[in-house]
Order: sequence, then structure tokens, then C-alpha cells
Amino acid sequence: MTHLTGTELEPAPTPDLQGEPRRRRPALWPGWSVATRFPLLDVGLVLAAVIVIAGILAPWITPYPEDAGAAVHPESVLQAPSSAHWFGTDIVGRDIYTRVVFGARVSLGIVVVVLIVSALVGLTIGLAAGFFGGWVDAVLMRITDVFLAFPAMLLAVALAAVLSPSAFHAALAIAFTWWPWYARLARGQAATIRRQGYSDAARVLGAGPVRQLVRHVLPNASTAVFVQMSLDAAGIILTAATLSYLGLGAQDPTPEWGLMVAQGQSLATTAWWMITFPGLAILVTAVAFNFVGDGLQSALDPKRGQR
Amino acid sequence: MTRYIASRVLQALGVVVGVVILTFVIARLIPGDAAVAYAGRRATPEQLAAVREQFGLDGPVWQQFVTYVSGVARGDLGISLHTKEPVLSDLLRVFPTTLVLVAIALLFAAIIGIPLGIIAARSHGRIGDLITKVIAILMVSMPVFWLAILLQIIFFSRLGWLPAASAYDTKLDATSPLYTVIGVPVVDALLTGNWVIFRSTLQHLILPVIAIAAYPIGAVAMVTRGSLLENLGDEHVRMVRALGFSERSVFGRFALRPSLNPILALLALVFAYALTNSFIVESVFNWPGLGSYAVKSIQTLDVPAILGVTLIVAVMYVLLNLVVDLVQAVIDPRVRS
Repeated sequence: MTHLTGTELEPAPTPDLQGEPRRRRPALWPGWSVATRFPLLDVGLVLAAVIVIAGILAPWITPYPEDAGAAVHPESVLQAPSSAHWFGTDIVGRDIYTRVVFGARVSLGIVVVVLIVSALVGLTIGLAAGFFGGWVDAVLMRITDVFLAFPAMLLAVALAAVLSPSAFHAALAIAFTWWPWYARLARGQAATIRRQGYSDAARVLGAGPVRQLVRHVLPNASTAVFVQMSLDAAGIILTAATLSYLGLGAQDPTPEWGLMVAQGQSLATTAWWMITFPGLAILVTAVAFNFVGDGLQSALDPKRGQR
Repeated sequence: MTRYIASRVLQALGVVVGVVILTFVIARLIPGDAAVAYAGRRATPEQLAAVREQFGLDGPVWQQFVTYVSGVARGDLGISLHTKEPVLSDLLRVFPTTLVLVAIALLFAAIIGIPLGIIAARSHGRIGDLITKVIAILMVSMPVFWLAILLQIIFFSRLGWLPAASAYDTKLDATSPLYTVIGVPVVDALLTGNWVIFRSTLQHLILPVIAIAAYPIGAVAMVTRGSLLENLGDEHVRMVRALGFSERSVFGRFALRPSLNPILALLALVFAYALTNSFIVESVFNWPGLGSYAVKSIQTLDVPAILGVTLIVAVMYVLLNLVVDLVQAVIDPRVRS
């Protein structure tokens, strides 16, 4: 090798990609082609949007908004569905349609509280474990394992007993059992991201651990976390409804779906509408969020969805 | 391999110790005086003091903790406040019934769920895939308590096809008495050849099994589908296809076999979920198992019994995960590293 001819410094020719069709890069905002390829995602998004909007607009789209509270109407007790009461009335004469629509507020509120609390706790612990590794990782993940081994419902039962039952306390109890999943997820993400080139670059440039975590690890782990959140929303709604059904969640005047099923259970053979509509509300909401979560997972994960 | 097994067993033991500590902390948090709950509201102060001394409730917290841990280590979980029996013997009495119920439900779920996932994967991207996926998502989105009540109303109250409650028709005991072998009616009837009662137990099993199996069916179908698709796109399947193997054997021998590993892991996870779901289903169908016991303990704030139930469920979960990890390590050497 005597002297450089200059060709060595030229960029390598672009590899020929003609042979195999290039895979489309998954976009965060799914484009039109994505929308047509993932029909369940579309259905889920529409359903979820309808439920959220119905919850927000509840006082304006329900005929008897006062029935969402502790109203009593002796003249209209246990009426079957009719044009005046689309979903019938309950044992004290309240309009079930009104209560089901207002119930969206309660259930979605619980979902928001659980997701925020468990994501905050789980991300903090998981990111720290994955980022620092070593004994920090070992200690934090063993603690996480203990909470993971605990049956979620029993832990929630114990906490509801301590904190006196209410929708908010049920949400806290669920969050208490939900964060380990986020900790595991975040730990895996942090451990992978830490080994990437840009993390090394940031470290070499003198970024401290906090800056590295907040600026580099957290943003890159967020996609996985958001997919997990949409998948979890359905599970949280089911758990919250179950706690209320057992009397460990929302209490009477609150229009909570699980509680409404419990109130109608003893009358279910005659007043079928008392358990049918609140139960359907739980099912439809859970289906909507599962459609969204499953669709997002397929749309964002090229290995699973685009084949 | 030995090292892997040893480290996994140690890890599992550590988790169990953590669970014991956590149950103690929770027991301390639950309000209400255990002595009053045990001796009754009209107990005299002397009686209360005697109860406190008997159960070590009068000592400092650390001492109670030591008593509790050494008790658990010896299998002494305390006395249930509502049955007045040792919690351990209560659990041994009710747990097998629930275990059989959940095991049958999971078997049922695997029999329905795995073929459902295979159908979805085979018709990937077509209408069959979409339909099975919607079915699976409906299954995992079903509120269990609601499903149980609906099944009871439709098949018992309206149609009168199936019984609504308990493990078997006790009226049959008059003509063909059931002898206890292990304390689970369906197994006892089978072992003693009591076909009249066996028939009755099967009829009583149908609705609770469907209610418990709903979620596992959906979950198993989705995981089977996902992991089959992942394997079908793998190099080894492409290779086998290129070698000219029939599509049938490509599917069964080379794609399905490696997919069994994640399904196995899922079943362990779902077992814990099904166990807590069986609590609700048992109380709706008045099934004499761990779930009814747990619900009754919760309603009477029977702390030792609640803790006993929690411990047994948590230990089952840890054990199952351990077994799955070890089985996976045997099947797939990559897991060991």
C-alpha cells in the first residue's frame, strides 16, 4: 500500500434493495394504509372515542342526569326498557341508561389513576434497575417479583379493607398490584437502550446518570410503555368492576358498572335489564381497549404485524 | 444446568420469604381487633386478654413477626376466626376441590384455545383470522362475575338444563352415598365407581368450568397464534419449505413444536389468574372450594384465613413459575444462559 488513490474514501455503493420489497417503517401516527390493514384498531379507536366522549358529555346526553346520584323515584321502580327508559330502571327507580353513561366517567377515571400511578412507580424502579444493573438491579427486581407473585385481587382486597371501600381506593389498590409489570418492561428496555451507541456517546460526552435516563432512555422506552398502557386499560376496567362487584370498590350512589351488576344480581331472573346493560358496558369498553392495544402492537411491531 | 436450577430454586425461595413478610405487613394494616373478632363482641376484658396472650397479640410487633414466621415455617397458619379451625387444615380441605375445578377449566381452555390459535395462524390475513381474533378478544374482555351470572340465569333459571349451585346433588347421597377418598366429589365418585353421583358432579361442573375457562381460552388462542406466526416466518421454516416438506408437516413438526414453549409459560401465568377468577365463580355457583372460603373470610374480616389464602395462592404461583422455567430450560437450551 503505497499511497491512497482516493477511492477508499468514497462512500460504499448503496446496497441493492430491489430483490426484496422494502418493509414500510412503522409510523407513530398510523397512515391510511395502516388504517385499512388493521380494521380492529379502527373499530377499537372509534369505540374508545365514543365511550370517552359519552363520559365527558354525560350530563348533556342523558335524560335524567340527577339519577347518576342518590335520586329515588318510587313511581318508576323496576320498569322494563321503554322509550322513556331505554335500559329500564333500577330498584329505586333510577334510569339505568343515565347511570351506565355516567359509569364511563368512573371506570375511565379509575383507569387513568391506575395507569399514572403504576407507570410512575414501575418506570422509576424498572429504569433504575435496568440502568444501574448489578446489586441495585438484583434487589429491585426481587422486590418486584414478590409483588408479582401476590394475587392482585387479594392485595386489592386487603387494601380496600384498610382504606374503606371507594372507587379511588380501589384504583390505588389496583395500582399497588399493577406496577411490577411496568417495572419489568422498563427494566428490559433500559438494559437494551444502555447498550446502544447513542447511550455510549451521551456517556462519553459527560452526561450524568439522571440526564442519560431522562433524555435518552425514557423517550426510547416510551413506545413500548404506551402499547402496554392501552393493553392494560381493559384489564384495569375488569379488575375495578370485579372489586366493585365484591363490594370493595365504589359504593352505592356512585354509578359504577360492576356495582350495578351486583345490585341487580338477586333480581336478575325478572329484571334482566339491571345486570345486562351495565355488564355489556364493561364488556364493550374492555373490548374497545383490547382492540386498540392489540392493533397498536401489530402496527408498531413489524415482526408480528406486517407479515 | 445444575447451577441454573440451583439459582432458580434460591430465587423462588427468596420470593416466598418476601411474600411472607408482605402478608405480615398487610395483616398489621388491616383494622379491627383480631381478639374481639375471635372471642366475640360480648367477651369480657379478661377473656380478651386471654385470647391476646394465646395468639401472641400482646407482644411488640417484632415479636409477633417472629411468632408468625416461625409458625408459617412449621405449617401453623393460625386459627381461622370464622371456622375456629386451624387455617392449614381448612386450606387442605378446600384447596383440592378448587384445584380440580381450575385444572379442568385450563384443560378445557387448552383444548379449545390451541386449535383456535392454529386456525387463526393458518388463515393469517384472511377473514378466518379476523373472526378467531375477535372471538379471542371477546373471551379475554368478559367480566367473569357477569358471565357466571348470565350462564346461571340462562341455563338454570330460563332453560332448566343445568344445575345452578354446589358440587353435586346431595339428595343422591340417600340412594348412593358418596365415600370420601381425597375430598373432591368428582374424583371421589370416579375412584369409588359411584356413577350416579359422578354424572351429577359432571353436570355441576359445566357452567363453572365455562365461566373460568373464558379468559384462558382467549389468552391461549392469542399466544398460540402469535408464536406460530413468529415461527412460520423463521429461517428454519423457510428452509424446511424449500426442502419440499408438505405444508402439513411444516406446520405441525416445525412451527407448532417450538410454539409450545410460550404457551406453557402462559398457562402458568393464566393459572394464577384463573385461581383468583375461580373465587368469584365459586361464590356465584356456591362451590365448596378455596374461593367460597376466601370470600367468606373477606366478609368476616378473618385475617388469619385471608393471609392463609393469600400465601397458598402466592406459593402456587411461585412454584408453577419455577416448574415452567425448569421445563423450558430442558426444552430450550437458550433459556439457561
